[in-house]
Amino acid sequence: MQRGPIKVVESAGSAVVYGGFVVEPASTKRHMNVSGAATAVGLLMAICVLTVIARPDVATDFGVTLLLGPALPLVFASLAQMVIILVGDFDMGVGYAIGLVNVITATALVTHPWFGFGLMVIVVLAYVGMGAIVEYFRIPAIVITLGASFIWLGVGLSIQPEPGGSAPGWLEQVGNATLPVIPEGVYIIIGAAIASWWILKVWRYGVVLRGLGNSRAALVNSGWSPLATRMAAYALAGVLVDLGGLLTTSVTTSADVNASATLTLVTFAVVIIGGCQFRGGIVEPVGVVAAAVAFSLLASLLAFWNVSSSWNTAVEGLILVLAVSIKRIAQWFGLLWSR
Amino acid sequence: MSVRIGLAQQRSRKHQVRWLFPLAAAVLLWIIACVVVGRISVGVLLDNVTLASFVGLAAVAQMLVIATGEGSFDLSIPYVMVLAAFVSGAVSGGADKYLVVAVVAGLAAGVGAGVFNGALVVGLRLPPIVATLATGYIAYTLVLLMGGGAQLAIAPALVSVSHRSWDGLTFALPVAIVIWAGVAVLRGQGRYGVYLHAMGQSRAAAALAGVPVKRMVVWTFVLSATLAAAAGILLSGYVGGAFPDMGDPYLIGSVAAVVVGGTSVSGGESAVAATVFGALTMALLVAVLELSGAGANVQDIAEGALIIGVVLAVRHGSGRR
Repeated sequence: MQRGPIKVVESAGSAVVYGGFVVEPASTKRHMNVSGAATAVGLLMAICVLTVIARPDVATDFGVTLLLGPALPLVFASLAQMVIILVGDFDMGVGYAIGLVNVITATALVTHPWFGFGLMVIVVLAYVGMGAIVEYFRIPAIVITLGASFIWLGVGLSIQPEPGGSAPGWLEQVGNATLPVIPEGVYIIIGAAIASWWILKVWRYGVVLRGLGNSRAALVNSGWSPLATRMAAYALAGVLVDLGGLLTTSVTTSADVNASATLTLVTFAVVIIGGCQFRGGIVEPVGVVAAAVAFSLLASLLAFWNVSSSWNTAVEGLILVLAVSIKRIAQWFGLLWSR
Repeated sequence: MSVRIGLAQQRSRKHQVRWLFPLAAAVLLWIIACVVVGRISVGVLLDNVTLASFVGLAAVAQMLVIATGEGSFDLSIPYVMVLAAFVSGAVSGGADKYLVVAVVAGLAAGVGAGVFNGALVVGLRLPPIVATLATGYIAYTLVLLMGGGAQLAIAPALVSVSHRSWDGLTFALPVAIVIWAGVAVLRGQGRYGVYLHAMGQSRAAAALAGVPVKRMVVWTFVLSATLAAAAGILLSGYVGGAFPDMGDPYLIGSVAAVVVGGTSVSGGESAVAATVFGALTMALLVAVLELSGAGANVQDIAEGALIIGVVLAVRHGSGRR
């Protein structure tokens, strides 16, 4: 039995034999991915253009920084959710997990840097543990992450019962750094997109991660351990959660474990609009990053149009339905591979 | 036909013992609560039975959707609860004159949300999690528009009837029991239950066996949303008004009750009594921790540990991979 990431892709087509379920050939999937990312990037560009038309003065360094600040935690929350969904799972606790890291970085990391850093490492290890439980006991991840969300919240409240705290000095300096040409937030967003794209689309091990969600049977047949692979995916998600929490602290310069709770449900919408599929195996980091930024900007765009903020959630819901419908309609016209 | 009989037999055999574990856990927690208080307190039990009746209704709704399989969850439940409360409040105009119409309108809002969920899942083939999330977002916006982001007065009769308590027991419990019994009969006696579990175990196999899968999905979402609407209307009576955020604890609460009740979240099975006792167990756990002076942080950690622990125990006990 040969062990290699290329083998996973090749055997994915023949997974019918091993697993008893149909796996689409890799070549047709590429079309779908492009379409998925294109939907999100198109949405982002449309919202950017409309925002600049509505308020030309946002096209300044200050305006962009102000608008992109709230987008940063959502970008990383969505990327973490994307990695979990990639391996066929759901993370119901990503919002509280980011809230917990927000609390850690605004309290322990300020007073005892190494202790705070240790706690952040523990968060990653906890994610690895969740992945191990999900794979080893074959328990739906949605339950484990749901249970874990209570634990994140409880630990966060134990560290800091009331909202407060402050950002570490170095983080504040980094957060306010002035970079050439474009604002820092844009660098972070583009960097996140490129890094996650490289990890999942270019790096050889990224193929293995995708293989787990695409066809676990094919992965096993290629000699890879599904346990180690799922733990690796959860570790990556944990690191992204750490970054998301760190950026939350950097943007808000305070900590509130509950403030990030609403992120969880939004990440599902962002991931699906970004071009991923809930049954796993299909991943589109660039699309997800674009969708996350688009979702964040949408609220300010509606505010610029004097639309009551009551409508925000409905517009998000409608965009969610429309984005998925566009893909579906394209499939009806035979532009894409269909089930 | 033999497949169906086999299914029914398997289900009834499993079902008989399942509710014993969550019931035992609830009784144990009540005894612990009594030890903490230092006397036998029926009040503690009854207060939590009332709280559990709201969670229990939402949880039974969630359970039906989960039972359809393929990773289905109804994330719109908390939003539909609030929507129903607001619709019935708006129709009644805060007066008793149109109480019946208001309650019916609230339930109809639930039916509408369920149809919308079903249409998105069956028509657009959206994953249930996305579809119900979108429905929830839209329902929540309707809520904000109706109440202007603030609370809405409801019919006073609903409040007074909900607060007419018999030593801690309120009106919500008998209503909930009737609804639970109805769902139990529906899933245990008729075709609906057999179809539901068949499609939850294997949707493809069920479709080949002649189960009207699409219609079943729509019906289940309608049923779920209607149950959620009933829970929302009852809850608005209990808390004395319709509040935009009053549904918040019920998403996680409903899933947790299903899990603690021992029902597999992979679908294909359901157990009304076990789920209701699961809801009671969760409520009593919080009560015990509160009585022993534990803070919100310890309560959350204990709830999370209980959910994960129960799932591991159930999986270990059933010996399934």
